Amino acid sequence: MEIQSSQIEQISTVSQSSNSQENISKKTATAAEIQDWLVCYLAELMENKPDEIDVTIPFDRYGLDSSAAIGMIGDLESWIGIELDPTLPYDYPSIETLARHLAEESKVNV
Amino acid sequence: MNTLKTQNLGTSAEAIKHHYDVGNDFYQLWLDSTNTYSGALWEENDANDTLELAQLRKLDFHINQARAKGAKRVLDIGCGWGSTLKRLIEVHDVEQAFGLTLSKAQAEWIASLNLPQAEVKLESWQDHSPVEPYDAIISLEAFEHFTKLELSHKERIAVYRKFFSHCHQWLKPSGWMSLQVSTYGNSRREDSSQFVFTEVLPETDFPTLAEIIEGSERIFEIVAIRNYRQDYEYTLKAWLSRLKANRAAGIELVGKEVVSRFEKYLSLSSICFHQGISNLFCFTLRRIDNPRKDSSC
Repeated sequence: MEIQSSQIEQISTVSQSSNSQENISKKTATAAEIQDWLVCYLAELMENKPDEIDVTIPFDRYGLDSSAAIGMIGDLESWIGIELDPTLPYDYPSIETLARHLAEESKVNV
Repeated sequence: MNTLKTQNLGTSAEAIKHHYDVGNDFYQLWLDSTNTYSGALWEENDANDTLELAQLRKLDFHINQARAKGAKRVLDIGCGWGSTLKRLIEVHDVEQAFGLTLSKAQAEWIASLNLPQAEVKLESWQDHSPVEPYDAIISLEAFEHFTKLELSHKERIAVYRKFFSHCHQWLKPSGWMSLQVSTYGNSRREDSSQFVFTEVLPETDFPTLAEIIEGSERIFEIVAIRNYRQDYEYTLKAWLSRLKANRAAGIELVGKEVVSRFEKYLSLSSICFHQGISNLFCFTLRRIDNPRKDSSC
């Protein structure tokens, strides 16, 4: 994920979620729920259908640059209701691994 | 000495104002209580470490590296809101601590600290002319403001050599300097973020490690270098977390756009230091008292 600003105008960490899903606090979200949210988010961002998103493919293969990753984490943070590190997509670089990690984290934080 | 004109090749006072004069109240919301705005040094594996302790540890580290304890006169180039000056005077028994800044908001803040042994000048290092030499010099993340993105390699090195030559002139024989600088890491200058260097920190640029070495060669002896990029990642995340926790108050003070810009900046920077795209180097430097002249002289 190169540092580029191409999508910085499109996504703001302070702005409301661009995701079509309901913006609700989910302190005990399951891995499946988080995975669904990420699939929908990426599908909308990439203008693809959700079933075209492979949960095992690294985020950067979808063209998600650092600015877009920050936007995604900001919106996910608003939805899941716990503070998230902006570096998470680098430590857990696919939908599947990130969702699994966050589900474990949200259990710990309850 | 290189004869290239180096005046005004760094960040202008207007560009400094754009970033640092957003509002002292705003910075207080997310910096630690010492108002230190540079990477802190964290204690590894200490879950009880705090941002404030890590910042004080960093200040003490640089004060020790510069051999400034008990000194008569110490200079801090790019002194921010004065935390190093305060620490030098109150904890390390320095007689007089001098600070340079281009930020009016920072100079006013330091004036309000009631530190009679501190003297702050609103001037560039390029215009500084001390009446007496200094025993030690400290400079924390000011170096990034000495050049701009568009400069050529030759211009950039000329600025850096001028900076180190000035410090050399200002220091007493065998004097020490401690420097903290963000640099390019596993990245190229042409990949640098337009967002950071236009919207957040205009007229600013990181050096590379090689450029700092080339700039200081035969002027200062490099005694120690260490990369603290992970410490900067932790610091940026601590700042971001505090800003998020105080988001409503921040928006009240400076508006949503500025808060959004800073959150994005801190997030992007934490990724850069996490990934090694950027590094944070601390240099311990000793003045070379009989430097071999540049061949161009």
